[in-house]
Amino acid sequence: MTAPWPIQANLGGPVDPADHVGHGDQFAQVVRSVGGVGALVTGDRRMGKTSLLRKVEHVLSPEHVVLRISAETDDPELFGRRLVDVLRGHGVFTEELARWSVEVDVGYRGVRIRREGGVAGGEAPQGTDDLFRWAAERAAPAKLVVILDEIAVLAMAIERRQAGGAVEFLRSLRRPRQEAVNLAMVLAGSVGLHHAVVDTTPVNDLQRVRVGPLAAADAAFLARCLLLGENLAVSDDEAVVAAMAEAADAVPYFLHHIAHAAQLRGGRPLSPADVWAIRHAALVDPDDPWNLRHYRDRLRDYYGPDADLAAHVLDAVAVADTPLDLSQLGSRLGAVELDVRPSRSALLALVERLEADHYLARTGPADTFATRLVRDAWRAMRRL
Amino acid sequence: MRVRPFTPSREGAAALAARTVGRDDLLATLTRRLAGAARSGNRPHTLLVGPRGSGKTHLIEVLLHRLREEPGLVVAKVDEDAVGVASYADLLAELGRSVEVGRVAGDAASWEAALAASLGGRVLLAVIENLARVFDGMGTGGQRDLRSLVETSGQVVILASTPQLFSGIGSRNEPWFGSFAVEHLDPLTVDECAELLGLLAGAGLARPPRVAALHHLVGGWPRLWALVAAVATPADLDELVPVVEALVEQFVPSFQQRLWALAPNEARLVQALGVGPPAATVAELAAAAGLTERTAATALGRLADGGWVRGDKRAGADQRRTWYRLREPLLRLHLQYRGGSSLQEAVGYVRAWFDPALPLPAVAADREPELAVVALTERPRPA
Repeated sequence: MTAPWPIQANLGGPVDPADHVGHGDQFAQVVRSVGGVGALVTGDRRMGKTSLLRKVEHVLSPEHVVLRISAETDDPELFGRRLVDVLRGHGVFTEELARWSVEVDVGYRGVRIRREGGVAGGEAPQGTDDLFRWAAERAAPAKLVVILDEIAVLAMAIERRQAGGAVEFLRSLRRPRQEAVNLAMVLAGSVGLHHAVVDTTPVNDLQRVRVGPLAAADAAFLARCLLLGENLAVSDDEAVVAAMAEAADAVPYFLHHIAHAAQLRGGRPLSPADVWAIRHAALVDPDDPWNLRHYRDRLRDYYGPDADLAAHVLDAVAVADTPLDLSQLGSRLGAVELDVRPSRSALLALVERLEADHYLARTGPADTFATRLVRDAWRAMRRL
Repeated sequence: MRVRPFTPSREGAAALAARTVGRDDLLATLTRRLAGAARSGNRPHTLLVGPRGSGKTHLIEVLLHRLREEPGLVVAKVDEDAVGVASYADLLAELGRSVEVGRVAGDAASWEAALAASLGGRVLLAVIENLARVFDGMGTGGQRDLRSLVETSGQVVILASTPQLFSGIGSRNEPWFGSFAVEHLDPLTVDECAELLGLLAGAGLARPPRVAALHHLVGGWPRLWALVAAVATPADLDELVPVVEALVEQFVPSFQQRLWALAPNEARLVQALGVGPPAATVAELAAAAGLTERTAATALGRLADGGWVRGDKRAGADQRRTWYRLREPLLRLHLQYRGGSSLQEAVGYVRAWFDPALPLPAVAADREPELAVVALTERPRPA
């Protein structure tokens, strides 16, 4: 068994692949998917998706040609220029890119590369190709693995320029991975693709990998690493580690926050009670240091006219002792004043959206909050 | 020691380090964190939060001085007075000029390429002061571009500062939501202020009762105490009123500009908090400012977000009620002073409160609520 190593609290910046603890199953799923056409990695912000992708890049790079690029931009042209820079970083493309003046067009037709004016002169202009198909041909026989993080942001930017452009763009990404046997794509994002496109069939060939909280043992291991990294003395090693994992709901981001807050408080050794006090203080702090208030504030953006109903659904689930099925939820909503009472189908659709947006998690036919931490934060924010 | 309270970056980092008080733990944490970034793949972004005069620039200069021997870091700075950052490309240009990357075509991608080429495998430590203003100038699109650069390159770590938290990092829909380790700079304690005063002006100036009284009146932000060291003589500090008036005078233009920028309802509430009881509920403030409670509550929310006021609950009191007070004690004195009130009575009372050798002066009945705030602290006992 690996011994814990020191990891300093990192509250949001990129994480060293060597310091990514846990998510072993998800990592294996993504790596396996690369043997086919790839994966769609989803999960709420701060669950560790991006650092998982870095680890995937790190592990696959010796054997495959891996292009990893963040698509979190409203500017498709800038994305195209960055893509060329990333390509230039790989030897298999260097010579080709040096021969031509290259332009990359990113839009609803996909990611297109056009090569003109061969540097040696006298070479006929080349046509416009799909960039990923072109890159896969040059990478062969190696596999080309394209990792596009925060893909929904770029898709929404394309949609704003051209109605229906987002779904066309996603289709354009699908075509080359269906045609080129040595091309796989890993698409990822915290903003669900359902916010960019209604029709998600263009990504239904990708294996879905959901990144959520860590397994309990991994959370405990990360807690130990953070205690070492922050030089924190503890009253009782086992109890403090267990308290950290439980208080953070095994979410890496909150584990890092607990370690950071513990380091700031200084003084006597950290006890389990201190851990819970740190958690409670974060939930009621008006400065919202754990960034939990967004779970309430984003409802209007996400659900528009259904925002109030969504809030009532979450209220009901937050105060329930057990998971609620649709009938139970409907009867709880019966006591709430609503302009329009939702039909069963409408309520089901809303619950599914709340699951997709990481508020709720389904257990059999019933739902509960995805994490206890979000439930407790919801209770605190809504004064329930 | 030549002190520049408003421009610490011109003092020289070694001099600043020699007179740094009360920031040892934070400096140690930040040094370890950023040195770690230079030696690993971790890129922990940090945001220092503190009002004007809290020592953010000072702290950054000392921190960079400590990191100067770190071979894996390239430091690029956007100064606190940088103007004209209206786009992502402008930000990159500022960073690029800071590390002298040479002539670059104006677009963002060219600046990105030039910066990347200048790094040679090292990590770019981008120091951005007044991050809220820079983010506002770049817009959400520019912020996204910066984030995707950071994520794609893996070679950039950000050290930023801001007077207060802002929606660009606190709203989930914003690209930089939850991406910073936020470090709040606290005011210096009485003992730390005394230490700073001693370092800057000699031990003769730092008489404990007067330091405690002045700390109560003006707060513990380091810039104020650097100014005290610059303007006060031992006799002035003993009297206290001349020192307080000198500080208030120094900040008149700054407070005026900030107050003029407030919406009328917000300004009325700030005025009410300045000249009325030092802490008041929404209902009391609404009555004092001639507003409805709903309007006052909304405006107070904005003032709290803007760092003007702070809301507190009182132990044992109705927990639904919040008592608001001005965050900056000096602002209260400014409002009284500019409103024509003498500071003599309030300052004299506080001076006596913290000096058990002095008798407490009698106070007119209508001044009692204002001076009652002093009673929230325990009066020192005679030795």
